Amino acid sequence: MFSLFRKKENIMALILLAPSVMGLLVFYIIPFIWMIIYSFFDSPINGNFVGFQNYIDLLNNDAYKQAVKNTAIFTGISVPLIVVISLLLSLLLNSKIHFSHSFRTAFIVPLVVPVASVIIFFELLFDYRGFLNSFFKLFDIAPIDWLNSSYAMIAVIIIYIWKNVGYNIVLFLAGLQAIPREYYEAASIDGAGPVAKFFNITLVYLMPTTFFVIIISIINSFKVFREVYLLAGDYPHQSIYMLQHYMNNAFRKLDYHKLVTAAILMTLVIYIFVFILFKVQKRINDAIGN
Amino acid sequence: MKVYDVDNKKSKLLISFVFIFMFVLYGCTSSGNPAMNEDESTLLYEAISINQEAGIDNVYAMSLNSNNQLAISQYDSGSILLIDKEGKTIDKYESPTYNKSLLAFNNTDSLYIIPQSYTMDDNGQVHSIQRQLIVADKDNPTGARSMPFKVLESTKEDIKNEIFKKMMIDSKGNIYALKLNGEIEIYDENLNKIKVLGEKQYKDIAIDEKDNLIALCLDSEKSTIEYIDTKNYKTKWEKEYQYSQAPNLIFYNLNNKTLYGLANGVIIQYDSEGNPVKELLDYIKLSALTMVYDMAVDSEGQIYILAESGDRSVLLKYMKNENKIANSETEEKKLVVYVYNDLLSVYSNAARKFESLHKDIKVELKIHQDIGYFEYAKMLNTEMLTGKGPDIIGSFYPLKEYAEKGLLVNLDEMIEKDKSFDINDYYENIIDGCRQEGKLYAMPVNYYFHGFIVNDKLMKEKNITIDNDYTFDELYDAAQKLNSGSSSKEYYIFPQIKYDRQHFEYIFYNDIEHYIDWEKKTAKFDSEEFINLLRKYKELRQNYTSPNINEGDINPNKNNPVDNILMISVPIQGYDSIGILGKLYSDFKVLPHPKGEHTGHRLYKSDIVSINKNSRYKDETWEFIKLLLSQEVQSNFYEYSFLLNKNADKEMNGYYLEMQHKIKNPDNYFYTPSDIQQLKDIVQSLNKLCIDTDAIYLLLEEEIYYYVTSDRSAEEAAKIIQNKVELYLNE
Repeated sequence: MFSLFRKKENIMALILLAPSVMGLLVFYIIPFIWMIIYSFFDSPINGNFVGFQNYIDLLNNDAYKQAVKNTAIFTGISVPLIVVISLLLSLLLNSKIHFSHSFRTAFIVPLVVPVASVIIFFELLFDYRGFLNSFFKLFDIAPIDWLNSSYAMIAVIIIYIWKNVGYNIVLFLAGLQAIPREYYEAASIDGAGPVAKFFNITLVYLMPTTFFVIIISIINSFKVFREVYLLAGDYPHQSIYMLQHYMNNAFRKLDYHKLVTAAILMTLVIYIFVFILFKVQKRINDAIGN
Repeated sequence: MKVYDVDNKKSKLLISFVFIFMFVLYGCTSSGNPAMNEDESTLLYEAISINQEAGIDNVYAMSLNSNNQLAISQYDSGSILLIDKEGKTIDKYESPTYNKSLLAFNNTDSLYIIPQSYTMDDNGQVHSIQRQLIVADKDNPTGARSMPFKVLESTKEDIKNEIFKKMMIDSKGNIYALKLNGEIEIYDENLNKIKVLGEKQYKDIAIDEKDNLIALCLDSEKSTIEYIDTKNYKTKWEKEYQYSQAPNLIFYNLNNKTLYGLANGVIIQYDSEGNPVKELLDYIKLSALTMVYDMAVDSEGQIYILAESGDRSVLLKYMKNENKIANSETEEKKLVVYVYNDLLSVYSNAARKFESLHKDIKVELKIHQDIGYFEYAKMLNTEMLTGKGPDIIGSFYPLKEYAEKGLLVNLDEMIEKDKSFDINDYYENIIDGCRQEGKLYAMPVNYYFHGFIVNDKLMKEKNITIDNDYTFDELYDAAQKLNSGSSSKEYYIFPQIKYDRQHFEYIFYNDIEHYIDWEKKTAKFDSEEFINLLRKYKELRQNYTSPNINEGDINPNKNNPVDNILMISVPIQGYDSIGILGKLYSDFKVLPHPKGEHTGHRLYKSDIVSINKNSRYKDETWEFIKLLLSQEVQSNFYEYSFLLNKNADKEMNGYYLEMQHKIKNPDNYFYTPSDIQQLKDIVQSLNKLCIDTDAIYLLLEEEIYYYVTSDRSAEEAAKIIQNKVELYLNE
């Protein structure tokens, strides 16, 4: 009797899941497999099978190499920076200060404001005759053409941190509030100072959250393309020309084979990276004994 | 056990509820559209030209009676014919004075005739209008009453606008006359003027069975139908229509008491409150007509349209033909043509002509003006890359990318195969300018270019000589020569620049092949010569342009203070554009934009067409392209571009040279054959198609515009451009 009911439940479950599964297949999995097949041909229509030639060409392509370099530099600088900043801010917000709720709201706002409206503000900020340069003029520092010089990377990092710090703060706050207060009290009894408390209790129990925040920040670092594209167009300064610019332009030029090859390589790299991160996290978790 | 039972029942109930809910939701949201599928109803109709059947010439006016018989009056002949619904002439009213008569039936089918005669003097003005009213009773044909209207005369003023355009009769015998100036005059049966409705400009009128006057009022964006009570001339109600729904002709059928309207080529049936109920016919899909003067719909649904086609007026009858649908289900060839815009319906008319020449092929023309260029390009990209796409891609599109990917048919092959195509019939330099790496993937169907209208008087004063073959450097030197010898800056070479795009093209873009090597994928925008060009343009723009007048404010129809300006950059879209451009200076010359110093390229723009490699009917598509290049279709492009077909060019030039004297528009400059020759010399030197939606074009244009309007230095700008172009080439 029980097994009969379970079977019915299974069938019911499958029927209810079917629409989502169909959607996933049609919009995600099938195009992905199709993309992999495309990457072995040299032209989107009437192409010849060329095996791995596309991958080899791509890895030798100057524009692609520039894009990879810039993306790696950007992610390598901005992700640690944002993790540290958001951790510090969330520690502050977790303690008893005035207006902590208003501050939390203020940090969330950049995430929900539409990008296209905010871009106007950033244009004014970073323009040659904009806010920042006028501010510099007060101190007699020469104005910088932000988006057209090698300082463009700094501008993009500022935009990225401003936009995403709120999300990370929320995550860290949740993680901080999950640490039982007894540990801190026990540590105080044992005579530990705030620094010791931080390194031995907070950081340790925040490990899972930190890994999660790192992964989310990496994903968000790719999303910064939207702001950069709206500010600087299809061909920005070569120091902020990133992977997505390469892929976007390949799409416009109808070079779909280059586009899918680049996308697959990017997927592979992210997959490997996240895989390593998870392995490390598991190791540390086991070591702590969680 | 019982618990599980209840759970099972509950879940079943829940599932069935969800399905019913989704079903109902789907059913309720599909809109109940009472209108028939537009394409289907159009297909039911077949067009028959009445002129041929009844043997009548130039039709002037028509009117429908309650027996579905049509009365027709003519321009040049005094016979008014009454034809039945089969097209046979039943009756005739003849009189030498009956040409150019307005006609209307009243509700008892008496025919009211108003012949109008007026003469135009040498200046095209009218000073006297004579009219008569004749009422022909069908029961008593010989006893027609006739009464004269008061003669309208004016010695000085032009009273052309007092001419009656249309008239309607109500059941009491009152006459409603719509004049050319949009006013409605109402006369009683003894021809006393009872009222003038002159507050608005009316375009068309109709009378319903209750003697209400239905008047159509038109302005630039919308139209309004007013129901006016003729007892007190108060508007009972009015209804507004916007844009594509706005009718410009109306008709009321007294038999079935229905109001019809013609809006944007579609005949629509309205209900008693003016709401559109049904679309009957889209005549653009069936006939090539340039302007429609009048329409009528009889009680069996047959539609009559009086329109201009070419230089004659034709009367067309659209009949429902049930057999047509059965026929159209058989396999027939269909050509799909995509264009961006269809000015003056040139492409639509060509499509109809093609269908009449090839009875087994249907041409579907799709116009994409309202979605914008970038959406059009995206849509084309998707369709072409999935292996579908139209048979002909027209107007403008990413030609270089499509050619590289092998999506287009090589037209050289089609030309070789076709012995009847002689390239000497067309201006070969324009065709060659469209070649990509020597191969012809796109055929231009028209072309225009930008040039300068030059103040010849000033040029001779300052002893500057520039011939057609000049380069930008000579232009720059001329700018400096203007004020040499005097300490004050009195003369300028250009007005203040607003259209940087035009100047960008002849300074930087025409030499693009020199600065970019597409094979080796290198660029030399950081070279001294490019930096010098940038500096010169900025200097020209800042120091040698007049601060008193801006390019955007120059209007040939007004007095512009341009006597101290040497040249004005203008688009030249056809030979007769000189009629307007020639008014800028009293003594003028036309110069082309300078050619590229290194490449010798002189740019022009065109509507181009290409054949999709995936098209199933390549030969038929080639025939359509040849039709677009034929003399008849090319002549239709005359009003806004130059023509590719040499014969059409010669004929239209001759025709318009004469016409400008006949129309005698005092606002225009009357151009001479030597003006035409100046333009011809320029046309012969055009040698490269300019595609202004290219990625490099847009990139350069933006950076150069930023450079000339900011304090960035030329070296910086050149370096930035070089970096961006290198990124583009490396991708």
